Amino acid sequence: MSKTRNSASWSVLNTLLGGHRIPLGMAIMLAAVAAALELVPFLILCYSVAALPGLPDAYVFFQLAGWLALALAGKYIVYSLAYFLSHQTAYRVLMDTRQILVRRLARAPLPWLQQHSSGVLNQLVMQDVERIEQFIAHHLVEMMAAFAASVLVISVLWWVDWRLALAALAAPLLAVVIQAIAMRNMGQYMTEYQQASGELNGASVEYLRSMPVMKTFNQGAHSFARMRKGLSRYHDLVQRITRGTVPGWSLFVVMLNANIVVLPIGLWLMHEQQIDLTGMLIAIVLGNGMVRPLMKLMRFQTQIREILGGVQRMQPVLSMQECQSETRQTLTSSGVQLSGINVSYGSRPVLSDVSFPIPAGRVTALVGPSGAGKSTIASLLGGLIEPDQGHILVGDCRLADIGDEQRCATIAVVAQDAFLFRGTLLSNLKLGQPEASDDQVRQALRVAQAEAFVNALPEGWHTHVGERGLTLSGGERQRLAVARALLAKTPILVLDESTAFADSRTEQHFYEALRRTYPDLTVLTIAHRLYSVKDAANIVVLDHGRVVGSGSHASLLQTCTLYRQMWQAQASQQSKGDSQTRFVVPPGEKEHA
Amino acid sequence: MPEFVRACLRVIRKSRRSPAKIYLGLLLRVVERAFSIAPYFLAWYWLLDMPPFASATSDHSSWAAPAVILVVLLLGQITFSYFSQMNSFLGSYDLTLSYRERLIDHLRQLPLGVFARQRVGQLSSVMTDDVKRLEDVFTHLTAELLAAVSVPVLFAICLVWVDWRLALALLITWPLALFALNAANRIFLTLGRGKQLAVQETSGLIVEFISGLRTLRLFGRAHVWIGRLDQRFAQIRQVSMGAEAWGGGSVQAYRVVLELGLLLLLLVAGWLAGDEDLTPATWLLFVLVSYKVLDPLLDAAAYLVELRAMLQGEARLQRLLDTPVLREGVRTEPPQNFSVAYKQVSFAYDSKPILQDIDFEVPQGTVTAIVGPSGAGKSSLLHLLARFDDPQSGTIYLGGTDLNAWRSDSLYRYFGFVFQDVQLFEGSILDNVRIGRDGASDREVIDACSRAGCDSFVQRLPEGYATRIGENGQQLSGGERQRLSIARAILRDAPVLLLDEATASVDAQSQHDIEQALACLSEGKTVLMVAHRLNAVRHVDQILVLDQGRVHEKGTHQELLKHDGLYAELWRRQEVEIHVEACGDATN
Repeated sequence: MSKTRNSASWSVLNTLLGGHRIPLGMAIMLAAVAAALELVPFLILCYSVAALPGLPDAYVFFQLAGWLALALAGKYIVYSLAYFLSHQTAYRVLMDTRQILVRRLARAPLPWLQQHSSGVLNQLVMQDVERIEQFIAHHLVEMMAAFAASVLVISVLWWVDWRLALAALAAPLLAVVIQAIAMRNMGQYMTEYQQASGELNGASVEYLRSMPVMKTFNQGAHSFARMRKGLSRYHDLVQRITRGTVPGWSLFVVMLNANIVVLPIGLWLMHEQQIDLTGMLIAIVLGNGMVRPLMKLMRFQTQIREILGGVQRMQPVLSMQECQSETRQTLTSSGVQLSGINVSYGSRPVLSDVSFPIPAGRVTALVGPSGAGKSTIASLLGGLIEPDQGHILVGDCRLADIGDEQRCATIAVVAQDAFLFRGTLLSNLKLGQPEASDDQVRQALRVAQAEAFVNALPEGWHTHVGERGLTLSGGERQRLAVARALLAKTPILVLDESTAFADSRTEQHFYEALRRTYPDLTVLTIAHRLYSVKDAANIVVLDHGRVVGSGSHASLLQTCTLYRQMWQAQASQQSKGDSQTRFVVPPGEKEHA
Repeated sequence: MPEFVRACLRVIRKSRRSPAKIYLGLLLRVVERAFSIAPYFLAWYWLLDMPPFASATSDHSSWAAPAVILVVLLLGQITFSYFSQMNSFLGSYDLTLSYRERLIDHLRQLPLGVFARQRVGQLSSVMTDDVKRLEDVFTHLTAELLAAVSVPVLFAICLVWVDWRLALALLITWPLALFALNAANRIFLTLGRGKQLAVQETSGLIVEFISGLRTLRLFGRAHVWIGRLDQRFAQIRQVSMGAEAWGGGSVQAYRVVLELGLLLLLLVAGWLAGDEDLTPATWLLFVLVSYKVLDPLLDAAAYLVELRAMLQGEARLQRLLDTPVLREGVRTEPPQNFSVAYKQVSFAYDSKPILQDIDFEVPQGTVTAIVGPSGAGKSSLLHLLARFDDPQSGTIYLGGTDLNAWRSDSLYRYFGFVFQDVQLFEGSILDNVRIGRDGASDREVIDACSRAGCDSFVQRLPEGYATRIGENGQQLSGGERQRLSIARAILRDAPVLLLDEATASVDAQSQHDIEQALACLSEGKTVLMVAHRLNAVRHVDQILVLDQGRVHEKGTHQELLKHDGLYAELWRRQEVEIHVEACGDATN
């Protein structure tokens, strides 16, 4: 199972490398050349004893030193070139991958986005992608160098005498066999170890995270005891694993570098005059160094597992669809019709067979208890999600056929979580309409009932908001969000609980100003508070994802039981509220402090 | 290198455990290395006994005896390798166990201010990654490093006797190489910091992009941000190339200089040969071993990255262990009454003054609200009462007694908390609320939850109150979590209540429920609360207006309006929002 997962990650990695194969191939080739140059100094040294028992004269030594210097310089230059190319490729791949990822994320389905925190996605785009660098810039080059070095050493030894080549291979082969036998539990141990260290990490984070609540609720001793128990469990396990693996491991490392086969066989071949002293030296010097690269590769294993883990996390994002081509539609009217809409999140149905019209140039209200699916309709209209069944018509054109740009120019949605970006109020207000004039901004602020508080700010609409900037209350944010939507000058406006924080007087002023200033606007307003929308042209009542009534306030009071109940409940709450509380407690009122 | 040794010794000292096993393991490792290099000297000895040095007369098999000796050496090496590793590993695991215990013990004694929201992420990585790195260094790296260093040293000890001039030529570049490593390291670290900065900034942008993605999509502005991010990615690529393109340049520099030793060896040999001062046998030995001397040192450079990471991690751990713990008192009896008083309290964080000369009293059973612009120090003021941090000067009294007189766990029995950052842990809803009062029955817990207005959302959960909430209750909304924390406080029923703003977004309905629940919770208690909406505090007994860490004004709503100061100004700014009806009118 993990194998198939790995192979999927490999193929993703392979796709990411597409288009960069030539420089990467060159880097790998250069690594092989450098590996060959790495052998030259060994051979030069061995050559210097060819004349033994006589010594070469000083001139020969100096000449050899010259060759050695050349070989060293060549080796490091070629390696540097290889690394330069591989890093250049790596950073290009990282950049490309990040660019692809943010493009896919920009279009990711909303439910998917809600399940992933911005921190996790940031990790994906930054850290997980960064890990690939190791693989492309280092691992590929070093694996090639290791492979080339091993093949070259065997070839040189074979050229001296084939028996030496086999002898040099014998010890590492023996080591591998020993390891396979002695360490057959290794896989099991590794899984156990990884699990245990994962658990320990989880416990540590939980210990830290819950420290304040545990201490303030006098549970500190419990959580400390639990943490200690987790520690000692981890400790017992690593001890057991150490005892189980060290014997096999020490045998393995020692055997990997052992001279036990090459040396006696070399001596024997010399005695039989099959090889000379130079050959013998080559056998000793090169014969047991050839496994070093192999060890290096083993070190990569854990790193590569982490890299593939990161690639695997990217895979769902990378396989999301790119945006479809956009054709501009001609919209005959700003009236909207929802027909037979079904939406479910997972297996939970949110909207079932919802149909209702939003007539052009009128105010339509959508009411219902919380969890009825009201905000889902706002998300549908904003193109954030798509219905499983049914369709939405704008004029006589399907919403799904309207491209992003045109949809944004047609429908403005004021969502509940009004997000303000770092920057000035003005830059936030002009998000939908960067060319808006000051007069337009002023007008939108006035309608949204935000003019007074913006003017009261020290720097007016040039005040900075967002992180480190001014902290705004929930009501202030909402009013800014409404102004921002109005500035976008769309024929259709959807307000999702946009006046929830305002008092009824402000709310009334807002609706009056909206009608007066933008008389042709088609409005869908979603509200908890029935009082504020009782004058709407049409009220649609939603309950458990179904439309259970629609009509004017007066007719709904007659025909819709749920509406009547909600109306009565709110009326009684209103009269009760005055006398009940000693003070009004604020927690919960401020959004995104 | 000396830094590394110092760091290791510091860790050993902090763990308060005898490092005997580790030292024994290291010693055995050196012996094991000695066994591993012995065959080269033997090979030299045997070769001198053969043509072209000696006549080929001894025609009995010349390889059987060496083979036997080699087997003996190998067995010795395996034995020492085994005992060295056993001691190293077990000793290191014991050491890190003690170190970890020390750490968690230290952590729980720290003032809770250390665990402020944004720092838990950092602390977690110190607790997990940095400690793990330390463990790896002790189990694997120290022994490997020592082995790498001991091989050339052991060789050198023998080679000096054969020919000190050649030995010196071969190894003299090593200190130079280390010097080059350090120098190059410094350059690459500076460049690396530039990259780190670029990555951090980009991370901030990505988080903002993703958080605001809904809004961007609704306004069709996502492409603008994508363009901005593209630029950042390109910039990262550019600075990365500067920092790392030459394949860890410092390591390359180290290797080049080290390998120059071979060049020197040949040059010195040529010079000696010219003077007829070099014997063939000596030269044979140096050819045989020169690469074996340098190889471990060349490879050791690969540990540099790990070493550097370990050093940085150890420094972070050390800073954590050096953070002073909370001074605990001894008192466990309850205070005389539940009034609260701040006398001349000043508090600074990172030498930045947060609060100065705070003076006020909260009589038992009354409500005091703290208002003021953001960054005025409102939350800090509240946190001092909970001893999340201790003020640098001044005293806070509970019932006339200095807070510091209590043991903190006794003190917390008198406090109920509803804070902005609601912490939930793995477990059922019931478990999470029950920590309000140990041993409360399910009935009592559910009752508290109902009073906190949790019923409506708990009923929607698959298993109701028995539903397990995962790490930090991610499936719960801000308002829901807030209500759970109110339920905890209701269950606790402590005489002093500390309330702080909620940062999570809460819909209108939840807001109403929460207000109701809090009103019911505060009946008859001494309450200190941080407030943001001014009309929410109009009826409290006392309002403190905080500005830039000082109590700017204090009094009731009417008094403060009459005074026409900062409060009156804030009040006017929010006037649009004010509605004259009381809390319950959030008619929804």
